[in-house]
Amino acid sequence: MKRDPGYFNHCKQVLSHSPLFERLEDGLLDDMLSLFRRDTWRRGVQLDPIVFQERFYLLIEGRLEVMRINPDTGRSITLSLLGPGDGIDVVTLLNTQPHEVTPVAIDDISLISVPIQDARVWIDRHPEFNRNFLPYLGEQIRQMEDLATDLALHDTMTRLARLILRHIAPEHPDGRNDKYPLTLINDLHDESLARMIGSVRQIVNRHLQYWRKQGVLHKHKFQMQVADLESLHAYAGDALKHSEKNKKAS
Amino acid sequence: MLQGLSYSRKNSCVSIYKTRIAVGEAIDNLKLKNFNLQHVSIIDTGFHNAVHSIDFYRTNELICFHGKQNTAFFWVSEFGPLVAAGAIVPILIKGHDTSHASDCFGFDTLAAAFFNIGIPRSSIARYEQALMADQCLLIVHGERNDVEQACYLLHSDTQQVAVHVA
Repeated sequence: MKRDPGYFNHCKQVLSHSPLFERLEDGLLDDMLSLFRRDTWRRGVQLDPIVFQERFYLLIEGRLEVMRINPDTGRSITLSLLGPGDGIDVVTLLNTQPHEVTPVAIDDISLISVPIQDARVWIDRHPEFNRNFLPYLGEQIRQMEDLATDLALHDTMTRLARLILRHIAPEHPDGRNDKYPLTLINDLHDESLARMIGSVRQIVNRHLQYWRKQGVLHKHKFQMQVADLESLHAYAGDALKHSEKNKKAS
Repeated sequence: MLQGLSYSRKNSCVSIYKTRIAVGEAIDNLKLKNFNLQHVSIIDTGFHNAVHSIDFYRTNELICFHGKQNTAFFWVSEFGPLVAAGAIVPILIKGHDTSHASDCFGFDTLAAAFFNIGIPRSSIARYEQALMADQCLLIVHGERNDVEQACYLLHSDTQQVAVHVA
């Protein structure tokens, strides 16, 4: 990678802002990046899971949906939505067991990759990386816990509200119009959102339309924004109560 | 149900070389490791003495850069003379004849061929720039295992290889 200084610096900049690599020593990041090669995957491409037993990938640009699919029914659920700076299938760094996941590129994506064995050796040689790696893994476990909890305990409206709240861009509200932009899911199709909450496109579409009518969400040029954060929090907390209230009011 | 998704079918890796000697060494390296050279292509612009040709021609028979089969000579307005050899030639010719990708995405012949072997727009621009700077491209296009093997053989601290999947 060092032979391509423009891209090297770009990768460094992206990774230094990601939870997995932020505040990591500059020399350590340089050393790590020197092992990597450059990859691209075109939008819509679905990777064979075996790829992730062989190489470890870091996303530099674009988004990737990590799914599980029932081959008999074609039904699928999104386990995670990854963006720049995220590692793909980090579990493979911890053990050598085959991992049944199907990553799908949502955009044309740029990545860097390294043979998985080299990545494991590098982590062994640099225990200081664990200061970032373990909290990152913890966050991934927490997200999986949220997904399981949402699926088991909440209805689709609550799940959708919680999903949207989890993706509000951290540095906002936007001073210009008091709307809260979203990260990663801001321009996703209803079907993709449905996969993230274990539902179907029609249900998600109905909820989104309802919220747009209520002024909770705002969509401009295919970009979804939250216009009324408090209401969305309320939906995320107790959607049934809200719908009952609305029924009575109408 | 998932629609519009497909397992990766187009795999290629591209390496940029500053000199033709370096490309030759890379091909020797691949030959030495018994890599199937039918997957390998070379694109180069460094033939400034050539007479300006308006169309391409193609000859059949041998397989190698200086040989006769799967070699083509193009005149592309952005680059001037462009010489291609190897597996990419039929794709270039097909793109030139049908112009499907050109019509769809606004690409010229070369970019359409790149796009057809799975190279994304951003990288196409990079490779075009490399060609404009008189550098050569070595492309391996085929099954994933072939591409990975080529990448393993060609990638080093001093020579970068980018892998493209589509």
